[in-house]
Amino acid sequence: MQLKPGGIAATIGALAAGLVALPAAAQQQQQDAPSVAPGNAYDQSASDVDALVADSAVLYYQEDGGRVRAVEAETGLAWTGADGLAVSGRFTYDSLTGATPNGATRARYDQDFIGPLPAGGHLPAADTRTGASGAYTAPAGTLPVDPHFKDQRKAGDLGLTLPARAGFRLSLGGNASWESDYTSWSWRVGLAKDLFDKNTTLSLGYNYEHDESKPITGIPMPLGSMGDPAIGKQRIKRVDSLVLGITQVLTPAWLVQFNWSTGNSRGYHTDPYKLVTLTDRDSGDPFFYVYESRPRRRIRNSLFLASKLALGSYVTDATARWYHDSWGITAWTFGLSEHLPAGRSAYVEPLVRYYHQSKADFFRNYLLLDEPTPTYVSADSRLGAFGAWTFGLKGGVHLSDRVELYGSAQRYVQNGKRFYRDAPGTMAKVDLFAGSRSTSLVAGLRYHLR
Amino acid sequence: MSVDRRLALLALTAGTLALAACAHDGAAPHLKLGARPWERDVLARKSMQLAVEPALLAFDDHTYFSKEAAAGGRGFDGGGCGCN
Repeated sequence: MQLKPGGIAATIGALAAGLVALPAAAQQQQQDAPSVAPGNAYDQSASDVDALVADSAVLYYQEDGGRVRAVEAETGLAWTGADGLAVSGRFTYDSLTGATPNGATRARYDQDFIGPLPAGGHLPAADTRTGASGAYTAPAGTLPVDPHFKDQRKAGDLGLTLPARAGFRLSLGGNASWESDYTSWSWRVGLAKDLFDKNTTLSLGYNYEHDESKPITGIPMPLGSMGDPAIGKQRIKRVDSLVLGITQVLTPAWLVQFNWSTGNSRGYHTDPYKLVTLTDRDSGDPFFYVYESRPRRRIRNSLFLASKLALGSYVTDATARWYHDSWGITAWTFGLSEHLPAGRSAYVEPLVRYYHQSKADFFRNYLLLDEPTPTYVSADSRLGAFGAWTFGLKGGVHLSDRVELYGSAQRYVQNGKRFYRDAPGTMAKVDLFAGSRSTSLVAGLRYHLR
Repeated sequence: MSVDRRLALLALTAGTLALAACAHDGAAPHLKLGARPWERDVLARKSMQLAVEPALLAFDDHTYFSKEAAAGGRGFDGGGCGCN
């Protein structure tokens, strides 16, 4: 489905109206119905016993330069029984359109791209669903992007938490996601145990994920030349993930969480739509393109630390994460946000996040025509080195005892090295960074049915 | 993950647990780690939950997962989509 401009405008309008309405609605609440207990509404207890809550939210996401645009709608229902039994269900629908970088470098002249030849030998035609196999041209000096990228995703999630037994809380869940060229299923199990008057909580979680990649163009031959016949229709990836965590109350107003998570992913990790430019060593101009190739295994590890510190009704949330994987990527993430009560029923939360990653061992902006082709190579900017800043504002307001609005507005900017003086010929003057910049808006509504 | 890292992690976890145990068993009462049952009002607040708005966190995670190489930390590192 391609998004209609009118639909987007209506979505933005609704989001803007929702955000603008927040302070007004909050004032109204203060004047009309002081049903919220003294203090700020978000100082109330979070426990939802014998409650049924419906929650719906919409995300609007737009990358600069007419790149990817996503509209994601989510709706869910959660029920918590008096004995601690909890059941939740959630449905998500995404619509993606726009242009996505294909991995090739910019050049001083127009570049033509085609998809793999289907096994039958007919010339590839533009696919009506994703458009990903259509031929297209990148004008001189511009970042080569596949302009036809569009997809829809439907996902469902079910969760169940059983009443505590001997201090142990067991939770189970499952998730399924469908795209026209990608399907994912997963199930999970978690166990938590409170210790020392609930001041320490240990948790252990396991998740199994099974993914099927079915590119419209077929599976291209890794390192094969652009346009070479596809070598198959689909490939599989399996991921085992484990999270081990400890949450510790340090003082009556300060708690910290420490998680170790690890994942073992086996199978097809290659992006079937990504290319790598073969560059002429003398001129620095692109000569041709090959399909990227990634290892069939990826082991990830991360350490995550979170702290929540309350000072009156203000809460400082700080997080740090160290990440390393077997592809040679090391990443650091730091987040800081401040929960600020606003009036009696609202809050705002300014936030900042910094992220930095090193490049994968096999990441290359381009390959030289006369060098031996490495076993693994990718020019996907998400595997390159870059830093990223997020600045944003979150907020929420209780319109009544039952109705709550929430939302966020965020700006995300990636920065990386653009020019390499030691690159051959004209390549030294070509901007090789393909990172993205984006704006996202979320508006959500929560309704307590009981 | 190397054996050294695993050992360091194990030691860190064991250390944290031991510290928690000592504090609560009265081995080091002056530390006063944690909160007494009647001191939990602040910790129980909505604003003090580790995931105040799960839907917002899920949207954030989905965006970051599709734009960055790192994943996981707060939760599992899988993505459940073909966006990366």
